[in-house]
Amino acid sequence: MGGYRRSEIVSGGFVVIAAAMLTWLAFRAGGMTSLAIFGPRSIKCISEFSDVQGLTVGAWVMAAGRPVGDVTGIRLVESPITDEENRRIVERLGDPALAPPVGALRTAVEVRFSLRDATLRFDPATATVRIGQSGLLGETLLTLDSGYWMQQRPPLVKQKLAEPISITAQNPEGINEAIEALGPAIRRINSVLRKVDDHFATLENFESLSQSIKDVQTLVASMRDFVRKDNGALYTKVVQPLNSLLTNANDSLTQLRERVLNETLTQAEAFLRDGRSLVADAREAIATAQQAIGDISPRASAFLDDADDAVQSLEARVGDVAQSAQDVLTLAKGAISEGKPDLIESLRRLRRTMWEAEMAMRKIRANPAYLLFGDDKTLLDAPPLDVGDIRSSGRARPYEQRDENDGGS
Amino acid sequence: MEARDFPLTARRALAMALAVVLGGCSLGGGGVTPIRTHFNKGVYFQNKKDYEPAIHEYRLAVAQNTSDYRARVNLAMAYEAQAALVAKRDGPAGEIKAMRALARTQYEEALRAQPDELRASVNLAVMDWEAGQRDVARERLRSLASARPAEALPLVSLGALLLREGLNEQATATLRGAVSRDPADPDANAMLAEALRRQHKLGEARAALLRAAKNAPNDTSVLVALGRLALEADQPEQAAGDLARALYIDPDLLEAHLLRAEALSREGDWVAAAEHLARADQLSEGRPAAEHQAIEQRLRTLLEKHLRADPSGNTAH
Repeated sequence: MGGYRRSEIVSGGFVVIAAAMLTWLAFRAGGMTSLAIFGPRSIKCISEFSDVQGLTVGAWVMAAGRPVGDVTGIRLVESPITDEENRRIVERLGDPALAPPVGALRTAVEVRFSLRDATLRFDPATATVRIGQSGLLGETLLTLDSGYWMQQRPPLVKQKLAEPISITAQNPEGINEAIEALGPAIRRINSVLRKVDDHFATLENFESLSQSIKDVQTLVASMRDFVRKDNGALYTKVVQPLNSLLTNANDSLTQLRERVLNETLTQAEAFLRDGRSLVADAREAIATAQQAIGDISPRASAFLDDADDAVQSLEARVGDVAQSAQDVLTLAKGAISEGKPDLIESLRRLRRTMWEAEMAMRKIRANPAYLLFGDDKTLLDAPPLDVGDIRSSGRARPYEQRDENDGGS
Repeated sequence: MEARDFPLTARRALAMALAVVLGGCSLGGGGVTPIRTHFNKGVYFQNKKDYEPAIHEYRLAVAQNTSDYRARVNLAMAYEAQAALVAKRDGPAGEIKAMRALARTQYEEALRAQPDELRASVNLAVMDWEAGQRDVARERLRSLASARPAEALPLVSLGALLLREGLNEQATATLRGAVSRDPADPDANAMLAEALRRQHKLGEARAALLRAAKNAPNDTSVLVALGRLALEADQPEQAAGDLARALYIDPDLLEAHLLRAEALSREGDWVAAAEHLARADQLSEGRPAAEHQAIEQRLRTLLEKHLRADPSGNTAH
């Protein structure tokens, strides 16, 4: 080093340190650890999704909330439709004829990723991956559920493998799952509403509707968890009203069902008891008469008179019971008629809120900034009204929108 | 400004600029009026002909303020429109009857809250007329017209009912009276034009429609009526222009597509005509089957006629 001065060596040392720090920063910014290229071997994995929702190469793979690897490749592939997918499509479309058959090819996305964390243990048979998001406004990433294993069966640890390990891909979580679930729920409610209109108040309808409401309540619970994580405004705007509507609809159903069941079944049971005792009386009377005729014929007429009285009494009582049965039916019909408008109104509002919830979810997915800035796009000034029909009918026009601060509601 | 102050000032300026940008973003670019009241939301849905949510919003508005007669009138009109929709789809008669009864109740409640409410009175008279009580309805409108000499609305409504009865000359006289009360009223002018058109007074009818269009430039029904009138007067070029204006305001106006297809077809531009018919065909999918099939048939006939004449399809272009 005789040709260099000390100041030059010190300067060169600083340049080398700066270059090393820049390299380290570049690795960090690229989502790699600085030792990734020299350090522990990675395990290469592969999964297939129907929709990767903007996942990019370099995105993190998270397990139990910490980064354990990254996405190394994404490409479109052809993939056959499985039984499970076919079932989900049928459920979504509501008509098996519209769904593509099992085995038909469609475009899918193959995602390759590497797991680099040497301490990670996972079982390829039970592990799953799904598309996730780091917070509502964060980037898209892969979430690995490492599965489970028995103590005697050691899980896969880092090792050199020629072929990538295939890991089952799961449906999108959170908001997408909620959107997926909302469609079928709304369709079920609609079909039940149609039934309610056609043949109201059969117990079968009640059961079906109750089941739908339970499904929606489960959905609301998952939406609530999801929404609470990030923004309370959406919770108060969508989830709370939806929940209260569900409670109202469920209450209406319960009350109506209780009234019908109590009033109808109690009376019906009384009817049966009366009927049974009447039949028993009649049989007894007839048996007595037959016995009397057989034993002592001179006394037959007296016994037959008794039997005749018994039959007449029977007829009268049957008439009474028939009348009371008619009353019961009228009563039940009245209960149904009284409850029907409330129930239908509740269901209409439920259907409306469900639609709004679906729209809100779709908007958030399209633009998460909705949660920060709100969304007034559906609530802008009203479009021009086509008054042609109103005018030619002779009616006056409806009132137009007024100043929001006009003190009106 | 001293040099050491600059970073702080710059930071403040940057923060303010950011706040302005974020504020602008939250308003969707600025100039947008958000709607928060139930009444305005109801109007929004009603204008989109989405009556179920409109009814829901108006009901909430009425629940918040039971003396809100404007919400009650609009609610009644939404009920009526929904009943008409159900009737068009051959829905249950009981539901239609119930909705009309609800509409009547709301009009009556509006009049109870505001006894001189004109729109509710006029619409109740129209409901009476539609229920078969024609004399009662006409008398009610006449007495309203004499009690409110400055208002054109009762005469416009009376004229429209007379037109519905086919009494074109009486309707014309009544509607002229309405126009003399308020020469700028687009409804009066549009209805007068319709009455004149039925008597084949096309020039006068066009003048009345132009007055209506001047005072209600976004009224698509007036523009469509202008187009229809021009077609009747055998002026397809004029008709195509009027209908293009209507379609500029509302691109999904089925009737405007059909009429413009007719106008363009007469002008020889059958390719553009076919495009309008194809769009009309799409838009008519929710309509009654006969109407939808008629449009399809029109499109098929047009295409067969011209493709047979010129299989390359280059006649017009």
